[in-house]
Amino acid sequence: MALSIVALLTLAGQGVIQFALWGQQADAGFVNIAGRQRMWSQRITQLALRASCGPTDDARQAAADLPAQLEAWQRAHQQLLAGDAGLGPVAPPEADVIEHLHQVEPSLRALVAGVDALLAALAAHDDQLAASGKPAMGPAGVPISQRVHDALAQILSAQDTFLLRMDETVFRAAEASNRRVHTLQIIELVQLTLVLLTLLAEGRFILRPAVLAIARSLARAEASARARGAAEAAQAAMVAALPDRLVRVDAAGHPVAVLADPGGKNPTETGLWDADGVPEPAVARLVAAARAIRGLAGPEDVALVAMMGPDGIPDTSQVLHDALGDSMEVFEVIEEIRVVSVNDGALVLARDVTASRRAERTLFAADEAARRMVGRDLHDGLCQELAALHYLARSLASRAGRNGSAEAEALDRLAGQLEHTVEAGRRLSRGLYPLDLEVGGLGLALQALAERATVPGGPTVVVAVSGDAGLPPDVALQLYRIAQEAVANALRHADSTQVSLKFSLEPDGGHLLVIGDNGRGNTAPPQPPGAPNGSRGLGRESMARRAALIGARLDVTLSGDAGTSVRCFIPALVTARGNS
Amino acid sequence: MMAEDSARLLLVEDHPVFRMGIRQVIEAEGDLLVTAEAATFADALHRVRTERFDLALVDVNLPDGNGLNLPAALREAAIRLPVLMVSMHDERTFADQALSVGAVGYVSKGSPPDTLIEAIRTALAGQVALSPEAAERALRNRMQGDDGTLQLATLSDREREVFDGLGRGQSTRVIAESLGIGIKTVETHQIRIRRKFDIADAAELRRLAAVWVSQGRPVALSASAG
Repeated sequence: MALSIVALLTLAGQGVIQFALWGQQADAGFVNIAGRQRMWSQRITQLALRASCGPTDDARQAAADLPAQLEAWQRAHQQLLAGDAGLGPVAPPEADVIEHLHQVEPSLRALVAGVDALLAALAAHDDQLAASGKPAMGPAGVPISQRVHDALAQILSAQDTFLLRMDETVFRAAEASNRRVHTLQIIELVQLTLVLLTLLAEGRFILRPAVLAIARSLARAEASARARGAAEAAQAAMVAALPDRLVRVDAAGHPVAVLADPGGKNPTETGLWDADGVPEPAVARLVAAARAIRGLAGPEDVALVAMMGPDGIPDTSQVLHDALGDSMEVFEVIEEIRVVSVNDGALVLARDVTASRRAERTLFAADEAARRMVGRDLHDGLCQELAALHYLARSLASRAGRNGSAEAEALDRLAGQLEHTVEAGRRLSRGLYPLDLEVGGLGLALQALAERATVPGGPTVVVAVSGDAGLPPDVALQLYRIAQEAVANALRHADSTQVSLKFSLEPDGGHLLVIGDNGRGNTAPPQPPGAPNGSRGLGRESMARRAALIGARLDVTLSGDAGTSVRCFIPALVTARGNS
Repeated sequence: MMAEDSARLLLVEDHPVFRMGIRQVIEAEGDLLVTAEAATFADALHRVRTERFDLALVDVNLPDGNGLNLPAALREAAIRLPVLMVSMHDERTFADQALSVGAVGYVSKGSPPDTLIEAIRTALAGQVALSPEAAERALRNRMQGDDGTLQLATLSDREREVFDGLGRGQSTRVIAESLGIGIKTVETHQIRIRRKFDIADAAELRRLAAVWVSQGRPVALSASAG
C-alpha cells in the first residue's frame, strides 16, 4: 500500500520533471525564435533602406526580396503566437506572453504597411524620376521622393516599436519560464516530503506493528513449546514414578498383600522373596531400615515395598544411605531406594534396574571379550613369533660374530629391533586387556600395574594387596579397570610424588580398593554432598559406571593438600554372588 | 659335536618357530644341548619317561595342559628333573606361581637370550633361577607381614637354622646331624614354618628357603625395596 503510494508519487514526480524539462526546452525555443524575429525585423528595415538607395541593381534586388521576407517574417510571428514555429518545440505562450505578442502586432502591421508603402512609393518614384528628373534626397545622398521618405520614416519608427515590444515579450516569456521552474521546485519539494512522510508512516504504522506481531507470535510459540515440554516431562515423571508393583509387608518383611502388580506376578517371582515368603536379606534390611527411620517398633506396623521400573525414582535418598552406612548392600535388582512416610507404616520405594544393568553388563562384557581376544592373540601369537625371531637373530648374530663380519653387526641390529618390537607389542597387548589378571589374579595384576606406572623421575607407586583370592572374574576386571583409571589420573593430573594402591578384605566381608595420592588433587571442583559420585569428568564417570556394574560404591574424595582418594567398596554379597 | 659332559635339555614348547629360536640360542653355547623337543604336555611326559635329562624348559601355555602342572606330574611319576618355566608373560606374572608349583625358576620369552642362558645355568647348578627382584617379590608375597617386612623374625632360632639349611639344599638328615637334633624334630620344625607362612608343601618351602639364602639371608626387607 505504502509502496504503491511511493511509486505513484515517484511516477508523478517524473512526469512533472519531464514536463518541466520539455517546457524549459520550449521556452528556450520561444526565446530563440523571438530573438530571430527581432533580427528579421532589423533585416527587413535594412532591405527597405537599401531598396530606397536606388536606382541601382542592389536597390532593385532589395526591393525585390522585400515582399518574400516580409511574408515569411509575418508567418513566423503567427507561428510564434500559435506556439508552433515548425522549428522545434515552442511553448504555447502563456496568456501574459500572448498579450504582449498581441501588443507587438500593431508595430508589426505598421512595419508591413510601411514596407508596402515604400515599395509602392519606389515604383511610383521610378515613374516620377522618369517624369521630373528632379528627385528628393534619400539616405546616402540618394534622391528620394517624399513618399519614399515618409515610408522609410514609418518603417524605422515601426521597427523601433517592434524591437521594444519584442524585448518586453521575451522578458515576459523568460519570467514565465522562471516562474514555472520555481513552481517545479516547489512541486518537487512537496513530492519529496510526501514520499518521506509515506515511508515514515509505513514504518510507524505498518512495518513496526508487523515486526512486533512476528516477535510476539514467535515468543508465544516458544512458550507453548516449553509448556508442552514441561507437561510431557511431568507426565513422563508421573508415569515413571508409578510403582510397577506394590507389596505390603509385615515387620519381618514377609509379604502380606500385593497391592498392585500389573504383571499379576506373585511376590516370589520378583526374586525378592523366596517361595515361603521369606524376604531376600536385601529386602529384610530395607524394611528394617525403613521402620527404623520412621520409628516403627510394633509388630503390627507394616511397610510397603514399591518396586519401580527401570527409570523409576529420579533421586536417591541420602537418608537410607546414611542409615545403613557402609554396610548397605547394593543389589542388582534394587537401587535408588527412598523411604517415605505413609499412614500406617513406611513406604520403601526401590527401583528395579535389573534389565538395564544386564544390558550394560552384556555391552561391557562384549567389549572386554573383543579386547581380550585381540590382546591375547597379540601377546601369545604375534609377540611370541617376534620373540622367537629375536632369539634366532641373536644366535645367528653370535655365530656370524665369530668371523667378525659385517653381517654379524647387521644381525645384531636386527635382533635389537626385534626385541624392541616384542616389548612394544606386549605393551599394546597389556593396554588392550590385562592378561595378568587371568593368570595371577587381581593382586598380581595390580602389582604389575603399579610397577609399570613407576617410571624414573615419576611418582612412586606403592601397592599393598590382600584378600584378592576368589573374586569373580568380572568383578576383578572392573576393579582392575577402576584402579587403572585412578592411577592414570593420579599420574596425569595430581602432581603427586607418591601414589598408593591398596586392596583389602574388610572385617564385614566386603572388599575395599583405595587409590590415593599426595598431590594437590585434580582440577575438577569438589562434589556437592549427595551428588552422585564420579559424575564429573569422563574418567570418574566411567569408574562410577564400572563400580555400579558390579554393585560396588565409588567415592572420590578431594582433600586439598592431602591429595585425592578413590575408594571403591565392594559389599560381601557381590563377591559371594560370584562364588555361588 | 656332542661333548660327554654336555648338559641335556628337554624343550617343551608348542610354538615351532620359538623352539627353533631357543634351540639355536642354547646350542650356540656349546656345552648345552637340547636332546629332545616336545610340543605337548603328553609328549613331554612320554619323553621324560624314556630319556634322561638334566633340565626341562617348559612353556606355561601348552595346547593340552598347563605347563605349571608338569612338576607335580613329574613328582607323581617319581622322576627327578628340575623344571624351568618359560612364557610370554613378565617374570612377575609367573615367578611366584612357578616357585609354588615346584619349578626352579621362571624366564620370560621377552627377555634377552643372555638372561635365558644365565637362568638355565643357575637352574643346572641347583639354584633358584629368578631375577633378584622377582626372587625378593616371591619371598615377600609369601612371607610378608602387614607392615611390608618379612616375618622371618617370627621364627624361633631353631626354625631359622632349619630354614637356612633347607635353603642351602641340605637334606633333612644333614640338617639334623649338623644341628645335633633328631630327624623327626627337623621335620616338625619344617611343618611349623609352613604353617606360619601358609606354605603348601615341602618343595615350596625349599624354594623359598633357597631364595632367602640366595638373597643374602635378609631377616627383614623394607617395604619400599621393590
